[in-house]
Amino acid sequence: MSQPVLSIRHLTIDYIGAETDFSAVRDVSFDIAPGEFFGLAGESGCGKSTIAFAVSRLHKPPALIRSGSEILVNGRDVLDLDEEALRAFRWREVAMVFQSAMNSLNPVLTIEAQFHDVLRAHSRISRAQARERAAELLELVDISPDRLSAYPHQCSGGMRQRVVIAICLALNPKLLIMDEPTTALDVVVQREILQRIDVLRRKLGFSVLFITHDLGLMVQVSDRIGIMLEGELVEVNDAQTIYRHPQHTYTQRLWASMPRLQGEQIAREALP
Amino acid sequence: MNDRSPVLALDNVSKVFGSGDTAVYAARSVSFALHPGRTLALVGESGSGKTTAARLIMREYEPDSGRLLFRNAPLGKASARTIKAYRASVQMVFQDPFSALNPAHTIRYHLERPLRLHRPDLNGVQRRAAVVELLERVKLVPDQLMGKFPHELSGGQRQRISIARALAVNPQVIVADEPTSMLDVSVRLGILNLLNDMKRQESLALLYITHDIATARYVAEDIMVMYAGQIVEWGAVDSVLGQPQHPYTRLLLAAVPDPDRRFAEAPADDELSRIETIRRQSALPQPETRQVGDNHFVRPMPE
Repeated sequence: MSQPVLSIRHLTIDYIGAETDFSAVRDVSFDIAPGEFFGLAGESGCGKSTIAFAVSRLHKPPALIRSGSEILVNGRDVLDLDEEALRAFRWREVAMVFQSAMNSLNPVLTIEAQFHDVLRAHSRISRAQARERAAELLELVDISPDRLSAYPHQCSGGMRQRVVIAICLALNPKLLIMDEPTTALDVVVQREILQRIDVLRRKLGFSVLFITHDLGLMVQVSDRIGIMLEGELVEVNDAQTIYRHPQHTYTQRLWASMPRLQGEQIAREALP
Repeated sequence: MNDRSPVLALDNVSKVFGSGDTAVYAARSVSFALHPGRTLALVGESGSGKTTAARLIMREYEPDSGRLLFRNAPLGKASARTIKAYRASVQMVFQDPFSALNPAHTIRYHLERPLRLHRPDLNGVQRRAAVVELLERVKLVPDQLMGKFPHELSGGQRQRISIARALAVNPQVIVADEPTSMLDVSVRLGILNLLNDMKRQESLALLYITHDIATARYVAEDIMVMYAGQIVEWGAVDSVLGQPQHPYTRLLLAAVPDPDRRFAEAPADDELSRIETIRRQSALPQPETRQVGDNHFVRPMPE
């Protein structure tokens, strides 16, 4: 196997408290291969978003990454990067779509200006070139380039989310982290967006770290899945195996608590 | 379920925003009825008019045409007194449990307020007892929670408070607009079970608005599928979801995450490959109604 895009080793993160520390992530290790769609699932508070933030070094105190932890992106430890290196690293190597990403656009700037910000900050590029690149990126996510002059409030939620994804792809990152990217959207729009991401990652070759608590969706799109429980990664396997033959009791209970469209109705006592 | 007459009904209600070329039908000839002890699910994507239907029921909007019937009587020209009784009988649970509660007030305050307004006969001691009982009904521990502020509660606990607040005035109808979409999967089930228990124990009529069709199947007996302000298909949950007739219903069902259908293996010719066409056609007026089953109706798309 080629070198993984992301390799997390013994990652331990604590939230430092006045009296006791809260252990958010405990000795988590996993790899994501080039082009791989990796899903990370678990309930709120299980540490999945903490991992996502740590990979882009966006974690802030009181979060503390304990020594001995390694986050290797293309073989380089993100935890060793200085400010300047970090600036170059973000967007270019790892880009992140946040949970309420559709609200992370600046309401007083046009879509074009928001592309321009990213492109100018990270590359020497003229205004005309930036515009051309932005139009190209919008087309990637199925948005007509004439929306470049629109403001965020003139776009639907799904369209704003796709704009954010297009901005994330502006510098051809190797890894796209998506933290609950479609939780606020309805099923049809969610399906359109994730199907688009799936096509793009095959075309452009980036890897995806996909965080969600929608287990059905996760099995549908992911190549491999990791299940987290209270800061620990309790099970990692390829998507079909983890769905059909879950080993850990928590994974089994998670599947059991999922409302289904077909077949038997879920058991009421599936979860405590 | 001996009582077959509905508590609340919308009769041919339309609501239009804007006019002329830019008119948007948020409700187009919408009719449905809510029965005691039954849940009716209203599903559709964002912008389909689900929340407008809720607002029409809550009388936040006046219908442009059509009638709102409460216990078979039109509410249009009802007296102030009837309207007040209506407000006590029809309560709402909102989507976002984080913003539905006032951060500056305790849980006790939130639950006492509807009691003060609608049950003026209660004295202080009785009111406190009523709050304790409400918290117990939604399976929370009263002594722990009464003095707390909303920020000290989890999302699931807050949604339970919203439900308790709705129950405070002994309503007959609860309109729940996406009550679980902001909660975790494991917490979701608890809230849905709670709504189901309330429906059975108190003979409540429930309108469950959601875009999560799987949970609709879990809580509801009947379902309506809405798009562009029109109810395109409705009937018994198992019939509508099992034998969907309208292309839009089939599109919605195809888009529901299903671990047994990988993206890569999606058939090329299903509804998902024709999303735009189906949306465009489903938005056209569809005045005909066809009965396709015992309790299953569809509005066929114009050819």
